[in-house]
Amino acid sequence: MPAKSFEDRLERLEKLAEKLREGKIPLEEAVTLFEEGMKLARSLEKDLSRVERKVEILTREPESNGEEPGLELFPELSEEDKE
Amino acid sequence: MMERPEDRRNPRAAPADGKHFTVSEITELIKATLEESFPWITVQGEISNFRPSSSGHWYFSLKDVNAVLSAVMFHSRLETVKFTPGDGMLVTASGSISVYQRRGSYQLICESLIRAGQGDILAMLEERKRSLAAEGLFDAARKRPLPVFPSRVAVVTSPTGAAIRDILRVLRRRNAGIDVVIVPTPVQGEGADERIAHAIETTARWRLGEVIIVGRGGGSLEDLLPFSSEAVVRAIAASPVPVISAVGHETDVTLSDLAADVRAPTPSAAAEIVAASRSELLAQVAGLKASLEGSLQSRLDMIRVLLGQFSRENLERNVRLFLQPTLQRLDDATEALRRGFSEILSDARHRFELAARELSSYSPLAVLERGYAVVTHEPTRRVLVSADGVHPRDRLDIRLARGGLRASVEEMHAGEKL
Repeated sequence: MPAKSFEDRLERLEKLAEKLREGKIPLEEAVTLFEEGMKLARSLEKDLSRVERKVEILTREPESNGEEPGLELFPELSEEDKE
Repeated sequence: MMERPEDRRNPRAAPADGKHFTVSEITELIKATLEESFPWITVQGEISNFRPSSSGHWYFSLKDVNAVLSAVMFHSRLETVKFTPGDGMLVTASGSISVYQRRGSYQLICESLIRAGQGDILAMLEERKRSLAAEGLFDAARKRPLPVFPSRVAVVTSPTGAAIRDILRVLRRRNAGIDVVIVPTPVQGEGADERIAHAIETTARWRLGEVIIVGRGGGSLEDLLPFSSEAVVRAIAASPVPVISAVGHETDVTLSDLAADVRAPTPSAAAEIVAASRSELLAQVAGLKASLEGSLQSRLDMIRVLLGQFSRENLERNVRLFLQPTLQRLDDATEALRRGFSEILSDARHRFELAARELSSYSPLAVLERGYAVVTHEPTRRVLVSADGVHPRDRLDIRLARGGLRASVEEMHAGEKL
């Protein structure tokens, strides 16, 4: 899971685009922001074009806070369910 | 003995010719009598002979131990029915009595059909809705926006039900790439409400998804009841993770729908909502990317223009522009110098010529040309301008314009200057 949520990254990208559009920042900083923005855009696009997915089912509830919930892969749908 | 009940006769029921009715006449009278007498009735009975027609209307009978009442429910009213009727089901039907003259039959035209006892349930739900609403659990201000593009969604539902199947099918068709965590729970029956509420709490506590879909497929009013339970409503309202309620069909409204941040008409619709915005987001990201590139590009273009002033060509041109006046001055000065020098020269030559000419006019030799002579007194080597001191027989040297003479003095005259 990426460290920052999709929204946080999208918001940051919007901010970068606005900053750059204003054109008030020094060039060197602009180039740095540009690179950061392009990296964000690529990661967002990657998320958006993701097609694999995981379907899991909760099989065990954690009893204490240190424990992780038990998840198991959920058997994908049978053929007749597919369109 | 047959009684002639003429006294109790319907005052309208008199044959037109005074002897007998036609079938139409009497049927018309029966129709008017029945329909005016029972414009709106509510009947409880058991469904039998339920037969939906190809035109979409439902035909059936209501019966009890001793009687049968034909009934019809027209297609336009079916959506108000929250269950699928079947033979043997005890229902309460409301509507009006209508006579069908061609068959000589009468039937109940149903406007509403609920399962017996449901009236009580609906009233109970209405009361619960009122009290929970009074607590503010359904307030619009409580609604949170859904995450724009969740990477994982938790589904609180039955792992074997229609809801999870529909949700997974939609997400697969959408190629949404969203991970799904199913939080299994019974969705109907005894204790289902507590189990659903607990599943919601577990999901929220362990952040099993960035958004929670709580739902189930269609069912009877009783089947959907756990989703209107206080436990579920409170669990949804308390969830720190946004909740989509997706219970039954479009027409089913449960209290979970009111408590959730978003109500989806069906589980499929909930999946659509979760997956929906992808193409819009792709366009948005592409737009932002283009804006980044455009901004930097125009920035660089501007810098290039600025830097262009310092290109070699420009620098050379600028230097030339700068040097030009100086070079010009140098040229001018050189030219002036050369010109001045030649002027001085010719001036000098001129003056020299004048001087020479003047000089030559003073030359004694020039005087000689005019017939004068220079006489030198030899003994004293004096040029004579006076006869004084000259004695006879002194030798004289006489210089003429051309040639000279040696002479001796014969006599002398003292005298005045000429």
